[in-house]
Amino acid sequence: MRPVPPSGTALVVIDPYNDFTSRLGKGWPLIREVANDVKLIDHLKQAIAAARMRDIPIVYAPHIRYRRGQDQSERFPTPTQYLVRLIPFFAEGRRGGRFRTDLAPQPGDFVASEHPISSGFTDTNLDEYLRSIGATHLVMCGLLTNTCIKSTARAAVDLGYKVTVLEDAVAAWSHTDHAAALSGSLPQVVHEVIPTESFLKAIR
Amino acid sequence: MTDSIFNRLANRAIRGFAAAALRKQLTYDASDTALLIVGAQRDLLDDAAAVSTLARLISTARAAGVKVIYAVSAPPTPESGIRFPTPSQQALLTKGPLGASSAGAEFHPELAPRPGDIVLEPRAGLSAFASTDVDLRLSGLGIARIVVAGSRTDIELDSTARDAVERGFQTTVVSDCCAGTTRENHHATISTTLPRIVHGVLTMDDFAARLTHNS
Repeated sequence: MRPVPPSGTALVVIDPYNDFTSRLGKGWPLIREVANDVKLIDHLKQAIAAARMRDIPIVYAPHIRYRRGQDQSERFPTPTQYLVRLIPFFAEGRRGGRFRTDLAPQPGDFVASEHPISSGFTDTNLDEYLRSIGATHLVMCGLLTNTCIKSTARAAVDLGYKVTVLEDAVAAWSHTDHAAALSGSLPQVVHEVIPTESFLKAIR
Repeated sequence: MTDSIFNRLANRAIRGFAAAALRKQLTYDASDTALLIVGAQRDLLDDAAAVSTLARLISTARAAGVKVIYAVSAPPTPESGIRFPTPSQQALLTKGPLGASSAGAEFHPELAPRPGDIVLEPRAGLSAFASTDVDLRLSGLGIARIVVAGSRTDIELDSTARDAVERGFQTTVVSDCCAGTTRENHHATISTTLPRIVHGVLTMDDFAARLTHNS
């Protein structure tokens, strides 16, 4: 297990699947508009590289992958769950269900178990792992701003973590979704919403 | 930043398609539905229209036999165990509303609990599910659907609705029975954010039309 810096900081990377982040990904035609504007991929790479250099633990919180033949139907699917299964997103063993190569976990990173809905904490070992390494401050990045990022960030606050969201290392289906989450409620319900550059400076 | 026409049309079509496909499941049998009212307190729910619509929602739900549950918001005092209050939690401390002796922490009289309702332990956490006694109080009631209303739309209500979904409840937000920190934040949460998260965002009248009485 890697040593934790005294600050207790961990970088939490959410759902950097090819379906969300790569040119042939199923979600890219919509996501690319926000992603290109905020320079999502560059900022994710920078945040991950800087954390790695500073020995800040990097923790991946992956969304559940689609598995053919496995009954994943809830009694009540939400519109998002319905679409994820219909399309399907993040198919296991397919390109879309793999992490983008240059954003993928490396030896020493921790990959939490898959979350079934939006929060990286629901039915996973994420909280248990973060506590085991003494993390108290979570810096979050990845996708999508208004769904998994926001649900995971809100849950983290109620679990007692200090939470920072990297505003230009997250993206959503549209600018409307992205802005509603970022400029509306997130700055009120997490501790910091900052550009990646500020995170890089803070740990330099 | 504005969305391209392609993005707007595609998002609208996809959302509309999913909503239409799932609209059938938005029915409410009083026997397994609970109304979860978040922060129906004077200082938090400060929109007169939302208060009167919520009062109608509560009486409709009671008349049908729906279980009514109140979640109570409190400031993050040292005893609440919150080490890092967020700006939304800090605001409850610095402005002083919701203090123990403050009338602002009380329920609106027209929204007050009645015997038989459940009133959860006051909590400073964002989500009503952060109340320490929520599991104890909900267990054994056979609740499958949760209908959420109250305040603040963009703060506690958003977290509560998300947690209800995470816990496997069919989750509905009643749009005209909520108030946010600002009108813009309320509107953005109701019309943009929550439709991606919960099963349904309905008006009070639409919800009432879909509710079946407990026989």
